[in-house]
Amino acid sequence: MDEHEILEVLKDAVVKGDEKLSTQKAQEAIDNGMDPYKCIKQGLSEGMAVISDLYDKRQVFVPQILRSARAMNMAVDILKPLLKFDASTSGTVVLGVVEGDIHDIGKNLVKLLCEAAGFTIIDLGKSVSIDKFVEAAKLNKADIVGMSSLMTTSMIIMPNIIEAFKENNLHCKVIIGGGAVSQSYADKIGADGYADDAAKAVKLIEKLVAEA
Amino acid sequence: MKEMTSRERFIAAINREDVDRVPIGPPFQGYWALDQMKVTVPDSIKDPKLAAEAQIAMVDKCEMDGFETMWDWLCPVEALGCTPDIPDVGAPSTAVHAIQSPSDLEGLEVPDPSCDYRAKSAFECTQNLIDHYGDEKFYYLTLVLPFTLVGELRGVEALMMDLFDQPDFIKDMLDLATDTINAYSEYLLGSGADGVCLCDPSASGDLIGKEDFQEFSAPYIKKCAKKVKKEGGYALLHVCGNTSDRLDVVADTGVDVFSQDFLVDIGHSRETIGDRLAVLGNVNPAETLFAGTREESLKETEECLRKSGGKGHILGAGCDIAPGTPLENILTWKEAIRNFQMG
Repeated sequence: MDEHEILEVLKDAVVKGDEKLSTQKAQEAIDNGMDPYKCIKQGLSEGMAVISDLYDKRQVFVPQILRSARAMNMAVDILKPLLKFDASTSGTVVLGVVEGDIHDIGKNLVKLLCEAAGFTIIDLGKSVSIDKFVEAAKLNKADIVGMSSLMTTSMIIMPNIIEAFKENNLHCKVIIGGGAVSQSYADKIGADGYADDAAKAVKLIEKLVAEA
Repeated sequence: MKEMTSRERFIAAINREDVDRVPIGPPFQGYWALDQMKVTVPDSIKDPKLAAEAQIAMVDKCEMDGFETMWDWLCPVEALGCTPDIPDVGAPSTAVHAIQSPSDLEGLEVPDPSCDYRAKSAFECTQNLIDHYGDEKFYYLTLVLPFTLVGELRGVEALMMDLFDQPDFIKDMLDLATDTINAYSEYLLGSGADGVCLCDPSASGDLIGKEDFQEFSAPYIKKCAKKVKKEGGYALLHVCGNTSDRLDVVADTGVDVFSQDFLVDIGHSRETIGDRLAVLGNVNPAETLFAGTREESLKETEECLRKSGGKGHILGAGCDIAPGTPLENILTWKEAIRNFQMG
């Protein structure tokens, strides 16, 4: 199998969520002396992009995305030790579910797709306090802070977080997502963006980083 | 048309018969009403009478025709061995999941709901409310469905992977969950409530596809609805997310009412399944009711009524009324209904 074919199979294995195939091909790529960065960027990540597009079109759903992510992550684990430099150069994104809310599936999907797109992710987890958001954004020199709420009781904290960023002179872009919020809510509280699913969130992040 | 009582109106709407006006059924006002009346969730469990008084205050103000007399819909989760996080405001969540591996399931048995302190509290609260209103209102109990219950026992992400890795294991868990919920329905309907609002948020149209819904959620909805009906109750169903592509599957479950998320166009569901069941909903609970103005709430409610045409429709929110939602926004419902000419 030539290099091009291996990349295609890696991509396909991620789309299908076939972790046996993705890990087997990752090993084969290494044995053939292929560049592990290329395998991630032009093989596995491409597969993740395909599946997230399908999710966007409601042709696949969350279980399929999680399965694809697993196939990708297991292959990345094999390739990672051989990476010569840190591949995560697209930008730094801090992610968290806002205080009072523990629904983190959407946030985790954004994380997976961002990682696939080459971003460095600082994942603060769920029910994250205002101070933690501020501290993490400062410490990691975040380009983007993404926060989510499924519950309306958490969503009302979002403007306070944006206010806290301003008070601390942080100039990172702030984007929001999750079942409770919307574009008009983002506009209302002065967020820099909103996305209604993980695939669109990554596109939004890429756009905002490019503009900065 | 002669003026109906709330209860007559609600039941006529369920049966898609003529009504004097569209009934109001929140569908989930419990936690909101507690918060409006400054009753904490732990206190509401300890003192069901206090909890009932909070509901009465809001039911009267908003002129609700039917309402939930039990909102602690996830109580079986604790009875099955998970550690809950019970906040002062809003619904409890699951902090520690009971089933980490298939062997954990073997040790689990269907709990006795009459020994569950939270179910007992809901039972008493229901009786308090029925004592207060008698035949005037329609009372329902809100209860989790098997797919979502398994998600709480197992963790939702783990459940999503189980769909591929160990579907038989899911079905074993679903069987236990079904037996549990049916035991709760039987016990709780003994309070005198009229029905059960069965909820499957983890089977959301935004989380799983139609095929998985058909295989892992719908058959169990059917079993739970059948049990509710066997006990003489009405079966209401709430599924979150955009379920527009699977309304036929929803109707096939045999429930009497579908409480739909705001993401489903109510005109579309009336057209698609309106001859088979009643629809409940579906004003946007977050953007409009919670964060919007009185005018926006009124406008969207009027639009909702216009789309449904009124018949076979119970007016409510597209999901739970979140604690902190302004009362004046919910008050627009009765105003919209008064102004509405039935189609």
